[in-house]
Amino acid sequence: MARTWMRGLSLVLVGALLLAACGDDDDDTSATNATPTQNDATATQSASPVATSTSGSSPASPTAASTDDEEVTLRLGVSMTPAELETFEQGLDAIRAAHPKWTIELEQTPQEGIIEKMNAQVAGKNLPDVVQLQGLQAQQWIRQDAFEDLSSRVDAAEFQVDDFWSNSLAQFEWQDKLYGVPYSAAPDVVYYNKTMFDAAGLDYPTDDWTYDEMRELAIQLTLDSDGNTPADPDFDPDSIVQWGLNVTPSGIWARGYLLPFGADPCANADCTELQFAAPDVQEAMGWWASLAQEDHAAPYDPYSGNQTGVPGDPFAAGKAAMGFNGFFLVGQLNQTGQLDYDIVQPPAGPTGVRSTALSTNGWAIAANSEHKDAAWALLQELTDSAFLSEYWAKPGHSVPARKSAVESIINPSAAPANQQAIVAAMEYAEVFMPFTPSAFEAYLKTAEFFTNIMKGDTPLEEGLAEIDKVANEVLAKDK
Amino acid sequence: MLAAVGLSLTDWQLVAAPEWRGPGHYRALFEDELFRTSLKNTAYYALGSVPLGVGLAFGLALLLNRPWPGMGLFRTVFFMPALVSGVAVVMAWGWLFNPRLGAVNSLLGGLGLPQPGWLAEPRWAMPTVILLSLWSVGGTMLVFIAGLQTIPRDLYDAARIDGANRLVLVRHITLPMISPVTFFLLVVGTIASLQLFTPTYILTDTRGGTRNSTLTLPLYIYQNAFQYREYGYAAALTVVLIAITFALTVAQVGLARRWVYYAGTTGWGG
Repeated sequence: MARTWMRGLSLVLVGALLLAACGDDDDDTSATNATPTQNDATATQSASPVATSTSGSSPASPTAASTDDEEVTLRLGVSMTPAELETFEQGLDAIRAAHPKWTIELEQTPQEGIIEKMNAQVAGKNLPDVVQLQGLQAQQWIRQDAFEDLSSRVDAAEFQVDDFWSNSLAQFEWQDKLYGVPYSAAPDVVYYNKTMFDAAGLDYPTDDWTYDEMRELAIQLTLDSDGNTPADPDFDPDSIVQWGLNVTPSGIWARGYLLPFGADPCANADCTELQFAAPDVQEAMGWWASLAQEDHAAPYDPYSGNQTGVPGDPFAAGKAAMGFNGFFLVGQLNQTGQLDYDIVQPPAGPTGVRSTALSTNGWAIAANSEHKDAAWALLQELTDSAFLSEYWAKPGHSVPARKSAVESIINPSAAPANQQAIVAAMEYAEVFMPFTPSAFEAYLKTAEFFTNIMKGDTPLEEGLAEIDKVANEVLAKDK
Repeated sequence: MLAAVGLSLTDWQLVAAPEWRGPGHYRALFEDELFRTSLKNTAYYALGSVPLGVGLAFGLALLLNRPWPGMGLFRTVFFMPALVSGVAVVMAWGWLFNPRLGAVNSLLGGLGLPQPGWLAEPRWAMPTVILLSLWSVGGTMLVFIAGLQTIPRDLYDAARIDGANRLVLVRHITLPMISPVTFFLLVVGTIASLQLFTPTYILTDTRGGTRNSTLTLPLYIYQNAFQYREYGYAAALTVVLIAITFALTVAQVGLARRWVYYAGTTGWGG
């Protein structure tokens, strides 16, 4: 009898678990939504750039107005640093205040797990209505039809798609359609540690400098534990405590370091074929290899910490006097206040050409969204010029992808002094290539070769040929 | 498991329906250099960590299985590291073994000894991970202590009367009597060693270390599935890993008949 009763109870429990597992979780999530109270909304609205927006897609735009008539719950998937999230939530409160009928559920995922989570959500057709994504990773989902085609929506006059840096859109396009809208497009510039320059008695670099000048400075700024530079006969390369420059090319996304030398590692337009072994690319890579091996002025293994002792970027860690880095570092350095620094445009190469990498982040609408119009209205708010200025540029998180907002990164009362260098670099910055779905796999499978080449463990020609062989085998899947 | 076998015969990138490929992924394994490397590294880790871990745990258990005051405290001290989160341990280990700023090399340098590159050096990378595995030896030690306490005292007393010294007692009484426990720990330890993932994932930024020196089979499965979205190939690798695990376990069970003694049953090999 007891046994039968236990079986019955077990069946009920299993049934309940199955129902719970299969049930729609919308109700649960909406219950946790942090919609501001009316008082909060009013208070935020008065100071909100969203409410006072005049550029791009203001809340008064026809699309936004039509979606404001109905109650709608929108899931917003993000992956931000704590500092970014703090500012972004303020912006989101302003949007909520301007659209009281929207219930926006913020779903934050730590950056380490975002790819895995999005893959699972795409497979389960459970992506949030609007999702944040890195431009470099976008194609893997775009080509799986995970996102809504936004081409016709962005063509609407009020969106002003021409206001975006044209280069910043590339990673969100596929077969002449646009599947995402960038909100940030940050070029790498060269940061320099003024304290280290002062200690070495060197003049700060200026925007018209060249790669050869950068090399000379890097050598003079590299120090071993006894304070010797590589120019001193007693210099000990095994006890370097300060590098002149923070990087050497460490992966297939090294194009920005090679174009100034007149060398392009991309063999075709979408960069699904690499040519690191081509003579001009080889020569340019040789320049960098000798900077690491002969001059010892830049680490061959910049980020692991094995060589510098500190994982992460050597410049940010105070281990390098100069460093290529994105705008995000401005926010970080200003927050900690540990370094006295300034920035300068990337140097010109022997050909007179400047080049630098452009990191983009954007928003996309999930193909599985049931509220595409409302999602589009939200996306418009998130890429609105005033929103980008207030919540991304001014806190020092990122450079707005809209030209009309880019000057908002300029803050004369905060470091760095030469902020105009970032605006200038936007003119020639290019997104990382390749950015097709298998690019990350190609990067992972070849990163080791770059380290070995820069270290001198693998001969340049042999290593570059191996990079081409391995990477092109992987990238062939994207052709 | 059946699903893994089925998937291993397809090309699947998670969103679109899997496409039939047949045994193509298994053929590709033979040409995949990284697969061979990951297999070799996994074997290296298993052969290094299991005997070392079980041996050390047995030694500690013998030391701490004495009726001396304070033994409980020592057992707790040795067991406590096993309670710490694996990720936290690995992170701390990464700092300790940092070639330039790590405490281990500082100590070695202070003693005038050579300072290896540890994880940065291919020949030292896997030994470093094996050393890390000893961190949680306390759990194994505890199982040994429990086993040791089940051995009847009169066996030792009788042997001592016959003039047996400590070494003989261990060789002829302790080891046979505790052999079922040792067998269990070897089987479980081997299976766990074939699943090595967390340390190599964290310490090598998911890549598998310098020249793939710590790329293990589970990490390679992870890379293929979650980084390259090659779920079919990852499933094939998983099937191979399961097959290896199964074969090794069967082999261990088979060999157990020769050295495991079950007291109170039919004797050797149960």
